[in-house]
Amino acid sequence: MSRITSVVTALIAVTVLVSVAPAAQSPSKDVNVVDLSFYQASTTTAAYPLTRNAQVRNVIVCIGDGMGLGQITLASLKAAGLEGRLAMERMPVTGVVRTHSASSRVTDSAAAGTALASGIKTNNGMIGMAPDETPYITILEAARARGMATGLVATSTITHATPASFAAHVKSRKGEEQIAEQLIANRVNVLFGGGRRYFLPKSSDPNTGRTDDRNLVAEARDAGYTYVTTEAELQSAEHPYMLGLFQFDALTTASDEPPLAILTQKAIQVLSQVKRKPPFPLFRPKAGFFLMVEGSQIDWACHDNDVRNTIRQTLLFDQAVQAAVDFALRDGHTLVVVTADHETGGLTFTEAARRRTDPTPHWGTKGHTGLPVFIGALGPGAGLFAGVQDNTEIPSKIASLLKIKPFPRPAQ
Amino acid sequence: MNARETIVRVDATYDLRIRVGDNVRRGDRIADVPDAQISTAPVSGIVTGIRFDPASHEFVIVIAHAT
Repeated sequence: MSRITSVVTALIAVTVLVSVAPAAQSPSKDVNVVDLSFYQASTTTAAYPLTRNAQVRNVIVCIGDGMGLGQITLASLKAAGLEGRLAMERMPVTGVVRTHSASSRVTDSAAAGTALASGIKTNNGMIGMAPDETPYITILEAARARGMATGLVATSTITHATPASFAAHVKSRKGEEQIAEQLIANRVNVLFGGGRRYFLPKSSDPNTGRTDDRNLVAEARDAGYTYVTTEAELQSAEHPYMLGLFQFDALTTASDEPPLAILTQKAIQVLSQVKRKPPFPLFRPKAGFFLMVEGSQIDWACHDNDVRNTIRQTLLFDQAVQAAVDFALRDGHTLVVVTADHETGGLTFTEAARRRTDPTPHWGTKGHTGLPVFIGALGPGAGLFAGVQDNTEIPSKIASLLKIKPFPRPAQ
Repeated sequence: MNARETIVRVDATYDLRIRVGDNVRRGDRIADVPDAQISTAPVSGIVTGIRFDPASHEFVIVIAHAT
């Protein structure tokens, strides 16, 4: 039987390819065989302490892409058991976030990222702008305009929808080439993730994601960035502007690259040392910082309906949350907000089958759902994030704590 | 009889109406996308593969069909 690949154009994003795609309807995987050796679970259920009467100088927003309560609870049960808690479950203030977009009851990461970054609803697929294509300033850009250092860390390409939403403005999330240009032009101090393909010139590699010969790595170096691609280079570098692209595409989340928690620790280390531009008060030379950290691949595991990887990615993300919490508890002036952009997979579970110790997972879809998601907060101002809220309220609350007014607002 | 394969990409935000092994007819809706982005099967055939492409955040759907 011969095979011929046909050329078809359909109404939406219908693309013509050649090879046979593997049959990949992922069955529910056995929760029992998750390798958790990398994760040290807390054995206490106690919440972290509340911080009162302190000024917010630093903000760390941790986003688990696609991470609903099912994902958190399954990971928690597997890693910490009934007697333990994940770091994110120990946040002293918790609430619920509604996530619909301007165009759909079920959001994508672009519209949700825009809501979390700019405080506005937009259409699925759009980044950093309203449905009428008016760009809106992001909380990261507003913090930078206030003199704060800024950073983005993700396990996806750093140009993927969620990190892009904090420092880029494009009509389509597919414009990663343009997003890469904007991330550098926006002078984000720390950019850690994957996606070299969007920073390297077309002539350098046939698989590059660029359609031109701009070398954004060279441009970033010329603009004062230190460029790193390995964990050793990352650990030895110490510079207020760092571009870390650890894979050509997304991170693998495997051992040949720095894990999300290490990237988060390094980002905090770098950003917390950035000095204010003079003149500044002698008693307070640090600029303060805004950092967004994304566990990008929880969503991807859920699209595959892969329970094992969902748990693994959630725990990798929780390690990054722990790194943020550790710094915040030492610092006393750092607000940590942990949330998700949306839920993916409609993941739930029922009681274990006989002779099994783990619950039985069930998936409701391979796409996203409109379920509300978790939010937890720690540090000064955390109390603002209690209760049920819309995702657009989150950056507005952060802006109020940083005395940024007005917010939201169109970009100039 | 020759077999052909058509590959369709659909935004993975939305739920699919098809599974591997399903027979689809040209024009059948294959995903629960908003009305403005209706996605339909471009050919009649059997769904032989569905995988998630994280880079583009799309489902890659393979439909095998007779020539």
